[in-house]
Amino acid sequence: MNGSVADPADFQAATAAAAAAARASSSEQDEWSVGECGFLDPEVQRTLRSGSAAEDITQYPIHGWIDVTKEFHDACTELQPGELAQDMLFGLFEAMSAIEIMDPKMDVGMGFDKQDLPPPSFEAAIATGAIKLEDLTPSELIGTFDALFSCIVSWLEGNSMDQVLFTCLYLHAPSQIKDRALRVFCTAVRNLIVVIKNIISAAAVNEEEDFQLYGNSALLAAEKAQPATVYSALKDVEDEVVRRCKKLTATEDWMAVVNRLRFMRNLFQVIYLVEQMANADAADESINEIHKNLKVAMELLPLIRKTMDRGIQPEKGSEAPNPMGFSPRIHDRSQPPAFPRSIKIRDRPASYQFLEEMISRFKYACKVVKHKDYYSALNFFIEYSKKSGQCILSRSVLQSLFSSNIRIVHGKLPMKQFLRHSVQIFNSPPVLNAKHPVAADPKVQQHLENFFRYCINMNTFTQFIRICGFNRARQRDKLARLIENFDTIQVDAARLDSLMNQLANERAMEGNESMATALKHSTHFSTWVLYNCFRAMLIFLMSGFELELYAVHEFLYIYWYPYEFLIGFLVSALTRTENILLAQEEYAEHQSRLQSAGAGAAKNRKVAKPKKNKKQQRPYRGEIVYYHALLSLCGGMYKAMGALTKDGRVRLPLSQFDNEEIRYNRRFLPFATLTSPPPVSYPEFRNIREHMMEPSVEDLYTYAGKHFNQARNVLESIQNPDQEMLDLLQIARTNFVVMNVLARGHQKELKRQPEFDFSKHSYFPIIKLK
Amino acid sequence: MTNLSISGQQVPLAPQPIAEPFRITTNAPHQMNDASLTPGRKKLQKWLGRVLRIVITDGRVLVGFFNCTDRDANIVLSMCAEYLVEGQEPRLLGNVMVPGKHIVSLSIDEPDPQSSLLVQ
Repeated sequence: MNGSVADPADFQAATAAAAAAARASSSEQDEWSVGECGFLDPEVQRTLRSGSAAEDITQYPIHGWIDVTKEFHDACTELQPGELAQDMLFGLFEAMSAIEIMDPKMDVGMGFDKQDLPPPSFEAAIATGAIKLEDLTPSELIGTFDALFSCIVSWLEGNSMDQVLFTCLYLHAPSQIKDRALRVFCTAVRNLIVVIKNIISAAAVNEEEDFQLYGNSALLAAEKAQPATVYSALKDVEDEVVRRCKKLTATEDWMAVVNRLRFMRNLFQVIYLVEQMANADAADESINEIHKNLKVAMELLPLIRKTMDRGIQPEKGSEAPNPMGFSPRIHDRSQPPAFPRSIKIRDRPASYQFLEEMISRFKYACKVVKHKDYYSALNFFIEYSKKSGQCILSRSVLQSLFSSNIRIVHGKLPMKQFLRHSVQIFNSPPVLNAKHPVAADPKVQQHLENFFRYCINMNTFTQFIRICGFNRARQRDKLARLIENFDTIQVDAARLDSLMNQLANERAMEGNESMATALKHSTHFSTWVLYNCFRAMLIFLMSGFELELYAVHEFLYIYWYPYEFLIGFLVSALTRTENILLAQEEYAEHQSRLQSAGAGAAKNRKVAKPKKNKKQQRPYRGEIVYYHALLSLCGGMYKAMGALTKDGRVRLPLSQFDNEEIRYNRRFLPFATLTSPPPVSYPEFRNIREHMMEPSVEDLYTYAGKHFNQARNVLESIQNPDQEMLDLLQIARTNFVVMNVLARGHQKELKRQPEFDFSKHSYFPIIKLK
Repeated sequence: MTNLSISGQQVPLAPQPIAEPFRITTNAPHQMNDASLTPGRKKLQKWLGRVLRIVITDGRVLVGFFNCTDRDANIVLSMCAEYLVEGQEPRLLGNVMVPGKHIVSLSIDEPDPQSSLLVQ
């Protein structure tokens, strides 16, 4: 049929010829050729659509638009519900990355009217007189300052810098502002942006949902940042305003301005000092200075809050946080297309609330300098994350304080030394004690050096601390990867332990008794590594409750694993460590008594040293008690879930959609690679569960109740319990009662699933019968 | 709870049982010129991958490669350009999904059938 096109010269021509031929015939046969259907060779198509100039969408139409509205809709109605007509290169990724037009959250271009004037720029606003550059009244200053604080807070909450901070036109060119107070304040905000960005990018615990690191940097670049001058500039302008006040009779409004300038000065100084800590020599001084500024800032906040109504207030229904100086939609069209559009800038009271909480968080973060070893530092980080995990700047500040803290403690010693010191504090392996005769042995030193270098190279321990700095939701998948890393270090630690043991035995054989006692070594290093690994595992498992990842019917094995293994391991690791420490202390006392007996009476002072109090002798007691309580709670939940399941009160998935083994394996996936603790296979778990569920339902409820009762007893024995302990106590008590009620056959006929209320504690629910 | 049911009643089966309830019409080579396709599906197949211009309810014009559609004429375009005023500088959006209810008119870039007849 295509006799007119004979012997095509090349492939392209052949395709074109085929297409032309097909087009000629298509009208009668109602068939489309490959070329006509927008389909080419997939490779060609891929390169065509990869954004090369050849396929610039703005060049279209090539032929001309043909209206197909009716035709298209008619064609669509032929599709079944759920059926798609899709391009062969179209997949889930393209579908997910598409922004939805006319959705107010996604569509930036929405609501623009063709007739609207573009939002005013800085120059335009000056030309039209929309903003004042000089002679601002106090209430205008107060309003603008308060609005800028709101913008800073909204930025720290994860919004784009352009869409919040740089809607303020004053920030575009502070040097052009003639009013001195406003100019200095705006310069301070711009410098604050730079400093905060530095801290956050250095700490690197941010995720895209926490913080927008990138903005239109051209706006910032226009004027150079000089953070070192901000403090004194603010101080000068403060003094100037105060001097002016002295000539006035009504000074209250001006004092409100001064307080805001002062607050900015102190806040700025804190954040600037934190940034400078990284290369400061006298970090202790910086910490003191930070404390002083935090205190002043805290004292200023009530004064500022009281005078909020003295400033001009945002107009009702307007998007601008202040009637003057803001151009809310100025950057909307310059944002990347997938950017969120609707930004709510925090209102003023809420912003000051945020700042107040942030200052308390900073104060709390400063305490990290007290924690001079890995064990207590890790505890601090875990605690801090629970309490202050939501604010990216607070988390980043903690990271900078900590990494400079290591340097404060040990001079400029690297992390390797810090870990070495930490193991020594944790369970004091004899070889790490400098006084011991083997400490100088080059062979032993070499082994130790290798081990700690390995720890650093694997990055596991440093990474654990950093992970605690991430937001709560992201910690979990990072922990999963961390746990896998522990395996190699465990192997290495075990090797080191056995080497030390072997050396000790050799020395004993040689008859060098004192060397042998000095080297007498149990599983110090592996205990240390394992302890940290178990903690990571426990946090990983339990974080699933906090993030609401588990279905109720999965609770059983999630609580079972810590009950049967993890917490038991943790308790035994800590107890063993404590015993080693106690034994060493006794030995040291014994030695010194021997020595002092030999020495003259003049040297007796050393023996008379007051005994350390009981708590210090048992450094892990509090934690051991806590884990005992957790153990009983997990046991209680495990058996309670067993009883509820057997009683038919737990909704189970439909059997045709269910495969428990797959779910089980997924939940414990990160543990599968570890050699210690060895992974527990699903069949093993099933056997254990079958055995547990053998007794009658009533008995099972009673057993669960006993566990809760035990937890209650442990928790009640704690002196000066903190809030978490009190919450756990309440959970244990309530669940104990509920279990007893169920054991007595309450609501026996009603097979309703109870409610699991995690509001008291993120790991353990209160079981509620409806 | 063993069978899929809505408010206790057995859902009546569709009058004509369809062999592939979740079928996808695509312009992949093996499906081209599939004789069993309905005329509408054939048209959609032809248009897939070509440039589509959509006018939406607020007056904006979107131009992009036609990637996907469904029964309600929700349309996914790739490499989409958004024109506030046609002829002026567009903003490039990448992948967009246009809900069918916001579509005012659709046009496809192709030679006018009448003029192409004239050429021949």
